[in-house]
Amino acid sequence: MRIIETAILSHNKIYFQELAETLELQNDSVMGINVLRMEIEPDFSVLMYDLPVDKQLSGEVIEHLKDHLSSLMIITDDAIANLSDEGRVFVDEFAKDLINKPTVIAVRSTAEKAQRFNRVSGENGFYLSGQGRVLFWHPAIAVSRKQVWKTLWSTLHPA
Amino acid sequence: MHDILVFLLDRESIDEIQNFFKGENYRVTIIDKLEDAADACRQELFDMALVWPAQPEKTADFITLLDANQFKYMPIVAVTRDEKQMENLFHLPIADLIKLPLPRLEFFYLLERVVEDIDVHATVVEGTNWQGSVTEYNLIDLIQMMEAGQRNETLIMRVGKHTGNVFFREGQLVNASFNGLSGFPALQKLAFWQKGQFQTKADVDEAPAEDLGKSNHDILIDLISILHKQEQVSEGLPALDDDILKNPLTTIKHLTPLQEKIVKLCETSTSLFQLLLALPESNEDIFLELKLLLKMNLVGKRSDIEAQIKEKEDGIGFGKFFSDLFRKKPAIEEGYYVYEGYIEEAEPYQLIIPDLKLSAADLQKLESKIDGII
Repeated sequence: MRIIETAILSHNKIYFQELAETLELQNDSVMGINVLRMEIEPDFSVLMYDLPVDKQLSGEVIEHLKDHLSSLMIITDDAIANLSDEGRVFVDEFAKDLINKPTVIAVRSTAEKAQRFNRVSGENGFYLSGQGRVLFWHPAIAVSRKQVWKTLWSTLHPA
Repeated sequence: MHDILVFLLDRESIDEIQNFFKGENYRVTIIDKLEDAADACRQELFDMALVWPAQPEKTADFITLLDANQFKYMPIVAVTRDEKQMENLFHLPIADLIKLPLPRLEFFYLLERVVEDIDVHATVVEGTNWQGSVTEYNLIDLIQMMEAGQRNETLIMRVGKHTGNVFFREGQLVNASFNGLSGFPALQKLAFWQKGQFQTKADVDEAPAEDLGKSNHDILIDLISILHKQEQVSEGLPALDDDILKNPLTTIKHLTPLQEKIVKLCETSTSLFQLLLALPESNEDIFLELKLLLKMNLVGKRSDIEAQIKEKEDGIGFGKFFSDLFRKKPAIEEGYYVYEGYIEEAEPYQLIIPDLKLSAADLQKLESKIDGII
């Protein structure tokens, strides 16, 4: 059984719903965290932990989860500055501990900008770190959403 | 209940607007002439204005008119179906831009976010209505200010998602409601607020039928005396905004129903103020029970609990920490609690999960899946 476990930090839960709108996901719950499961094959699944940034999770749960995570995706927009101080500290601390894990920052932008940026950055997004990329997306542009998901998982394949 | 002013730019959208807000907790006033906007704002204290369907030029005119008439505080949300208009609307000083179609749930989530973002720091008076910060004027001040107005009014107090109402007839406080409480218990809860926002509305339609039956003076004396007592009882407790957390290292069998409620709320980090808002019991009872829980080390300030956990982790290893947590506890006598202290372990162990690497074949499968559905 192969399971890819990814943490999704979305500063607005609507964005995660928009980004994952057409994915075939099943809702589940693990340790009180909302988990979305996508089955690729009967013995191959993707688990996405939808971590609330506005609500504190217990320290044990976070620590336990971190060991299992293969990658991290932060979904945000240019209003990230509106995130509460608590939320910002949580995202910062969480991401800091996963510094060596593949990370994608998916920035929800306007349709026009998402198209323009993605033309420039090609299919792989902007360079963030060895295994980190920044991508711009908009719900109305399917290709931009697809690029986010593909990039997230392609970072797990050694070049 | 929030009040919304809708500046209607296309009369064909009126049915859509009415259907959107049907049955929702919003009171909507619709105007279709720009010149009516200032008058409408003078008559009612709106929480926000929507421009529907928004066009950049007319939205800009609307913003200019509100600014010129001292209604700059009001957040404006542009609603549009036209993708092409979005870029130009983005450049305007609006609180949010909503692109339709959008599920109702998400639409109202976005509106709620705008309302929550309004942080009123100063008192604003518009006509007979006014609004401000509870930090500036608390309920004790506000009762006296409302009495001076001698009007039929509802004082609405908000903090986060919590809303309380205090009802006045000709300046006399007749009743209050908050989180299912009414009368004096609701007033006591609201009187303790040291932050949040308030606003007044010129009606008392939603007031419960019964009357408190006391003069404002008597109510104030009672409230002040209760606040004084609460202040004494709360001595030694964490500050209102300090995070409190349940201590996973301590267990106890028998708790009072209120203690159980407090412990349950503290399973995720919460503040004392949030506890007071969430629980219907009197603040004094909550303070007393919380004091006992702190004494038993069953809950504590988050920083203290985290330090205890870290100390234990460092001493015996992470694996042992979890095994301790889930180990069956010995039976305890009623009224006593057991603190599981430091236990020496010979060889601490650590859970190491190797980083996952996807094979080319698995990556191909994933990409095919995405290609097929997006």
